[in-house]
Amino acid sequence: MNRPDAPELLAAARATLMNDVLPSVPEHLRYEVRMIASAMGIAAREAAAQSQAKVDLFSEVLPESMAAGSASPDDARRTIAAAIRAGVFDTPGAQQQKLRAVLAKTVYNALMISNPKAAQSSEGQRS
Amino acid sequence: MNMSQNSLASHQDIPEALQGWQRSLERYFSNVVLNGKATINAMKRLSGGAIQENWLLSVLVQGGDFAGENKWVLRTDSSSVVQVSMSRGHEYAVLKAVYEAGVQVPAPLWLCNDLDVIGREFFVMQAVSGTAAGHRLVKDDSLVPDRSALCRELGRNLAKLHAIRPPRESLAFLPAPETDPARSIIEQYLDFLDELPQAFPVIEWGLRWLHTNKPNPIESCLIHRDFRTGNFMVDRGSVSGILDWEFTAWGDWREDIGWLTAKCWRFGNNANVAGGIGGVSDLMAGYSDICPREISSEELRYWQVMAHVRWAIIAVQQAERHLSGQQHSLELALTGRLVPELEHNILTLIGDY
Repeated sequence: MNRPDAPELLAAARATLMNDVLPSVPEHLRYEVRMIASAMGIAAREAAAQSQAKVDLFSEVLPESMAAGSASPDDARRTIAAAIRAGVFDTPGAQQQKLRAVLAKTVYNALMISNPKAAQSSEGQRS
Repeated sequence: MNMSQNSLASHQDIPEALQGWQRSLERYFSNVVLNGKATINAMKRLSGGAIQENWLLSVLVQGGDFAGENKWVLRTDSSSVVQVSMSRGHEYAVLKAVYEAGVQVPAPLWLCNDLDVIGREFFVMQAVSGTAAGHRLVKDDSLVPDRSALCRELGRNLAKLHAIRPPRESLAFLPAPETDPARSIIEQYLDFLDELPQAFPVIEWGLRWLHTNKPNPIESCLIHRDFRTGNFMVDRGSVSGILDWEFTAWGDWREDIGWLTAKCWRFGNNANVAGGIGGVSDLMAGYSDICPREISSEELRYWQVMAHVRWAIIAVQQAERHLSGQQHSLELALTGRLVPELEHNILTLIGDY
C-alpha cells in the first residue's frame, strides 16, 4: 500500500499551495490558484470515497430492466433517464417513492465529494 | 463581464500586441465622432467573458461633440471563439432597443461591421462605473447601503425590458416568439441532454417535473435570460448598467424572475432571495411601479426549477467541452463539479429532498 495515500498527498500539496505559494502569487493569478486548490480538494475526497464499496443504487429502482450485476453504472443511468422521460414514474406510488429516494441519495453522495458543505447543510434541513 | 477596474493609467498604456488596433481605431473614432480627432491614451482588457472580449478605452477627442476625455468599452468576439450566442451586430441592436425603452444599460455608441478596422465585428458603448462582483455585492453593505432600493430598481429595469413586445423590426433576427415558451425550452433541453455522452437522471427528473407542472403560456415579451447578480453594475448603491445581452430572446417574463432569484445566483446569501441582494417583494414592488404584476410562490418555484435545470445543463455542457478536448480549461472542468449542488437544489425545490 502506498503511504501517504492519494488523499493525504493531495492534502499536503494543497496546504503548501494555499499557505506558502498563494501569498506570493500576483493578483491576476490568484483565481487560478484557488481553482487548483479546489480541484485538488475534490480529487482527494473522490479518491477517498472510491475505497468505499460502490452501491449500484439505480439497479434497485428498475430491477427488471437491468440484469443484476451486468449493467455498468453508465448504462443504469441511461436506463433510468429514459424511463423518467417515458413517464414511467409519473404516477405517485411505491415506484416513484423509490426513484425519489435513490435520486436524493445519489445527489447526496456526489455532493459529499464536490461540495461537502452544501451536503451537510442539507442534512440539517432533512432532520 | 466585470468593469470594476476602471482606473486607467495616465501615461501611454497599450499592450504591444494592440499597437496595430490603436492606429486603425483612432482613424475609425476620428471618423465617427464627427469633426473631432481621436487619440487612444489607454486600452485595457476587462476581466471576465471567455466568449467576448471587452476593452476599456480611454480616448481623448479634440473638437466635435465628444470633445474631451472619453471612457468607452469596445466589445468584440474573442479571437478563439467557439460558441457564438449572438453576433455583436445583433447584440448592439438589442442594446439599442432596451436603451431606448429606458432600461439602464451602457449607452450604445457605434457598431462597426468593417473587418478592416480590427479584423472582427465590434461595437462601442459608454463605460459605466461601479462593480458587478456578485460575492461583494451580496455581503458588503457599503456597496449596497439600501438593499430594498436596489431591488426595486432592478424590478423597474426588468419591467421596462418586459414591456418590449414582438414584433420589432429592429429585432427581426431573434427567433420568432414561441406560443408556449416553457414547452419549447423543455424540448430544447431534452435535445441538449441527448447530445451528451452520459445520462443525467436528476436533471431528467427535473425536466419531467417541469413538463408535468407546466403553467399555461402567457404573452411573450423580450427577456434577458441572464439577468442575475454579476451581470449588473452597481455604483454607489444603485444600478449603473445591466450587462451581457447576448442571450436576449422572446419568452416568458417569469423566466427572468426565476433566474435572478434562483439559489444558485445568490452567492451564498440565501436569505436574500432576489439575487442575494434583497427580497422578492421589493423586486416586484419596483416592477409594479412600471407594470403592475404579481408572481405567485408556485410560479416562482416553477421558474426557479427551470433556472437550476438550465444552469445544470450549461454546466455539464461546459465540462464536456473540457473533457472532449475542445477547450482545455480548469474552470470548465470545475464547472462540471457544480452539477451536484444544482441537482440538489432541483430536488429540494420539487420536494424530493
